[in-house]
Amino acid sequence: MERIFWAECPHCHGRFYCNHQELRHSGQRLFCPFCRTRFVPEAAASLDDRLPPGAAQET
Amino acid sequence: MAKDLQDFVAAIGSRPGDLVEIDRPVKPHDFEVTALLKQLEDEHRYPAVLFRHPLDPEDRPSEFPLLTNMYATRERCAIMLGLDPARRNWDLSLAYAAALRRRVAPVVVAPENAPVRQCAWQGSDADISRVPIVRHFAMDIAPTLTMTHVMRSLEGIYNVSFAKTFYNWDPKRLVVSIHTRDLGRVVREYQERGEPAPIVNVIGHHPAFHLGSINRHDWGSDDYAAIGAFMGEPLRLTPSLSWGDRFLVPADADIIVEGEIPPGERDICDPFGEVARLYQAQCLRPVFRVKAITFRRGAMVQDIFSGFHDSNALGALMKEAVLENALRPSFANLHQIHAPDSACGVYAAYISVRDVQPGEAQRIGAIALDTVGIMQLVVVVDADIDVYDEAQVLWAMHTYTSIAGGVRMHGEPLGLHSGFATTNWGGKVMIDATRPRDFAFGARSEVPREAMERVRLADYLPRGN
Repeated sequence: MERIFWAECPHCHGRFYCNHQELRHSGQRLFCPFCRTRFVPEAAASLDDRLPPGAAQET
Repeated sequence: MAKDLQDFVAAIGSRPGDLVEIDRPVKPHDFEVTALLKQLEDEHRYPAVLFRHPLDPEDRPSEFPLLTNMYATRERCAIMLGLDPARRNWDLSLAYAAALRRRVAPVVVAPENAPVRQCAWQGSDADISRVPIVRHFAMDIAPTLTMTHVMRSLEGIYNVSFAKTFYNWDPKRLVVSIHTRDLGRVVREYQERGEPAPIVNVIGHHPAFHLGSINRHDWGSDDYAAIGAFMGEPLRLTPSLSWGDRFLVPADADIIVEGEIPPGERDICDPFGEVARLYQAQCLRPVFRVKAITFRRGAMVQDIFSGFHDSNALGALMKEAVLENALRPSFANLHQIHAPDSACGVYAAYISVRDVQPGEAQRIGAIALDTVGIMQLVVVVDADIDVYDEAQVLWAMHTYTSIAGGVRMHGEPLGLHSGFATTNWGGKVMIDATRPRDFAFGARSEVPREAMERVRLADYLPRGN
């Protein structure tokens, strides 16, 4: 699958995932599917954008 | 009389187990439809389900019934293409393959003769929140319309493809998740001109219309003509309410949503539980501004239970047919092809061959994997292995395959950027599971055919068993 990152909503703490290329560093606000809160990735309660072992890091 | 959804539903209603009608109100936008469908799946029951009294996303009774799970059996898909349901397996795939090779030119009828123009909501009345919209899976961002869309290229070619349209609680402004090659190309054409792109969401039509819309033709092929081959008659078109004869729409649809994609305007959509039982990641996709909703009297809204049997057959039929058309010219000994439910009808194909020749299984696998880009596994078996019986295919793999020589990677794995619909990072594998012929190898045990024909189970079991 495409590279993704998991985001944890700062309001309801629901976890969902997003397209890394389009949303991780674009400044676009994410949309929590559980409580409809909009937030930028940096405001997430937690993020997980680990790559699998051995995969090249994106710039 | 032209084929339509109403007649089809009436026809399958007379077949035991093929249609369940539910009168009790349900909230499709609150997972109630998919919760019921999942429970039917868990019981290995796959009827089409007609919800007579769904609520709309604002919890109001909708005037439209909701029809779903229509494609969940190959028997019903056979009926859609005019076949006896007993011919649900390879004969159905061949019928689909034959339809792929044909074109039937559409005909144009006046709006007054078009059922889909019997009723119209336009302007401020074009309120999509009055339509029942299913929210399918726990992580889905919003209630989602899952049927086909029509766009027209600047050179006048109509493309019809499945795409998802998300209802983000704004009845005039949807987001359409376009992933297909051809719809994406049309959107780009208009974006480059800085013009809004007309788009139509067909959320109810005879099911052969939707079966035909998953055809895979080269760019330049008119999908209205392609779909006519699946309908078995010319598709009737009529001028749209919003653009007149500059954009023709299916005249016999139950309900269509006319809208525009403004240039450059995108918004968040997804996650959505896709055909692979994986969620599509949240992303940015074009905005769909609703202009009009037209529908026939008594219209039904259709939906797909994505990632379950309802989408498996849709994916499988197209793959099986495309591979038949690609392989048959080079391999006259090709027997049957099946894209199994275990790979969602998308990622794997089991291909049986008569009298396979040395190296032939690998050549068939390579062509199959190159022909269907999304396909990741091809298993080639002998013709005495039933490709529709996965246990037999797995038996052949376990028994006949040489791991050292019969399992090969094809090309390089596509990696992390290979797209939402790819699992296993896009790695492609072909497995030769035909019985070895180049050295002394065992034979599968069989009850003698003569005895199987002479001794009939029904003659020996106690009555009622």
